[in-house]
Amino acid sequence: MILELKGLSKSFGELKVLNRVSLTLEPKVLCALIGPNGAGKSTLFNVITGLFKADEGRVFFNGFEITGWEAHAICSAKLSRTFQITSIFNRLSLFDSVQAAIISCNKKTVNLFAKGKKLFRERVFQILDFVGLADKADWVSSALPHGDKKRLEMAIAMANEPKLLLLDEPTSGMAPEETGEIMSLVKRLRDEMGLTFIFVEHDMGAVFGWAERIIVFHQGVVFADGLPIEIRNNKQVQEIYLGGEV
Amino acid sequence: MASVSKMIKVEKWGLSAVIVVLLVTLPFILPEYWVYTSTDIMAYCIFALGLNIVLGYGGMIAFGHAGFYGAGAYVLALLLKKTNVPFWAALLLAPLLPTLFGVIIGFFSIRRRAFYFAVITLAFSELIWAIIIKWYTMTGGENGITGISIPSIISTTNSLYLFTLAVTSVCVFTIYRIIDSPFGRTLRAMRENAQRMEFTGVNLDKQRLIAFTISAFFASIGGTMHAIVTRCAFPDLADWPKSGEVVITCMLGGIHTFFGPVVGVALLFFMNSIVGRFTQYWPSVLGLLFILIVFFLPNGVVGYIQESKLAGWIKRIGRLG
Repeated sequence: MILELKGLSKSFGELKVLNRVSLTLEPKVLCALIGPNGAGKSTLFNVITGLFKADEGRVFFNGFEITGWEAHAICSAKLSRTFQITSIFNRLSLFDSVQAAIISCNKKTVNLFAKGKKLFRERVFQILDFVGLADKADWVSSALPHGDKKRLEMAIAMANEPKLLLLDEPTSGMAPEETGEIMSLVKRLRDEMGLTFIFVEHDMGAVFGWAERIIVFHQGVVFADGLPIEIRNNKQVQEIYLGGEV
Repeated sequence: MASVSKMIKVEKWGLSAVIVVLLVTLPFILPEYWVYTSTDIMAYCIFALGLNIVLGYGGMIAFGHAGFYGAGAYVLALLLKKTNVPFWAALLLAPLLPTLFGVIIGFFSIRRRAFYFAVITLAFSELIWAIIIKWYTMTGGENGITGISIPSIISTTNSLYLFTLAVTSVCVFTIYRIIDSPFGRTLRAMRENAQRMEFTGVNLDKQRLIAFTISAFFASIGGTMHAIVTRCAFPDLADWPKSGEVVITCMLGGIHTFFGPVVGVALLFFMNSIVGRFTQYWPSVLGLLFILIVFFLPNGVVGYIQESKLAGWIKRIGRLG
């Protein structure tokens, strides 16, 4: 198991956002996490990645218990994430952005005297090439169109060489053809580099088109969990979430 | 490709050589007053570039760096006045204590962001100032310490200029390397998006603390050099208007460019000596200037030049030469 959650709970005041969530995830799966707004999906991501501390419960990653670890330590253990609102380094070039993530991955962040300009140059271009942005390496990140920013964020996450990558709405605000490009990029990362993915997604086309397993979240608990075909045919899921139309 | 980059490299080295030759010959051309002022400008440049490590590259609004500047001046002055430590040893020892202050102050202040960080750094630097003012028997309080003796080899205006130029060059080169290092690159990425950087596995607090300490180290060298140049140390050096002045100076030149603070310092001294001839209200002029920068040149003078067409022209002129 690459990820195992045991009885994870998190409350904000009276509101119980996560209620004893338990689940396991096998490696190299494209797993979608869906559910209505306020179901607790983002909170689950935040608790797993160390942004919030869980009230109770335990998190195991790749055989290690990571409950209560600092966010940077969890990332160093190769569990990384992207954000709902595209999170990049606006005034840095694409090259510098990806390079910074590689420097971090290689634990060189406190190296004060190495010359940085050409450091990890090959690796940077390898990654930028993988996401299809190599020709824009010297662009300033903020100048990229929205879809490319999402790819850049993926490149930054990739540079960290994670084993498990949590994607918070990877295709939000994208045109349908861009959605397909991003999702096929995700699939290539799984196929060629053996990454495991959990992605929160509202675009049902992307979910049923690409996910191999779907977890439905509702009111802070795992409401349904299974293959796409099982979720599609689940009457209760249709009622609470899909409006009975799928 | 290769030949173009080679050309740029030659150009860069050529430009550097011209600047070095210019700086070395300056004291033999300029009147003595300006040689002396240039020497003090260089000391202030170390201070400003040191601050800019956290201000421009770390995105941390440090409002108490005068504490380190003042401490650097006072430690040197006290070592020379109260102990038998030889001058050259004192010069090397002087930045150590302020750097230790940097570690301690950094430890507490980097846990807070933006406004709160600014206020905490300000409060700590006022503590240093208060110690200087109150510890009369040691520091002479408001009278400061005067008449610091320096070795005869650097006691003429020109030799002091050349010595300061050497120290400044080493500092500028070192800071330049730090900014370009993996550490500096990480710091810049954190400035743009700290959370994203944390989620690549960076320990933000550790990174910020190191940046703050290095910054304090260079600020204190600036103070030490100032004490050598002026041969005295006064409490004003550690007081908060000095902290504000250096922040404004960096912004005037441009905090997101390496040499922005240097240009800022040159402009500050130049304007001070010009405006000072007409009015005693220099601080008001400085305040007005700050408002104008924030509104019209948010990226400073150097930042503005880089963004405008001027950059292209300067490059072209550079090619011709």
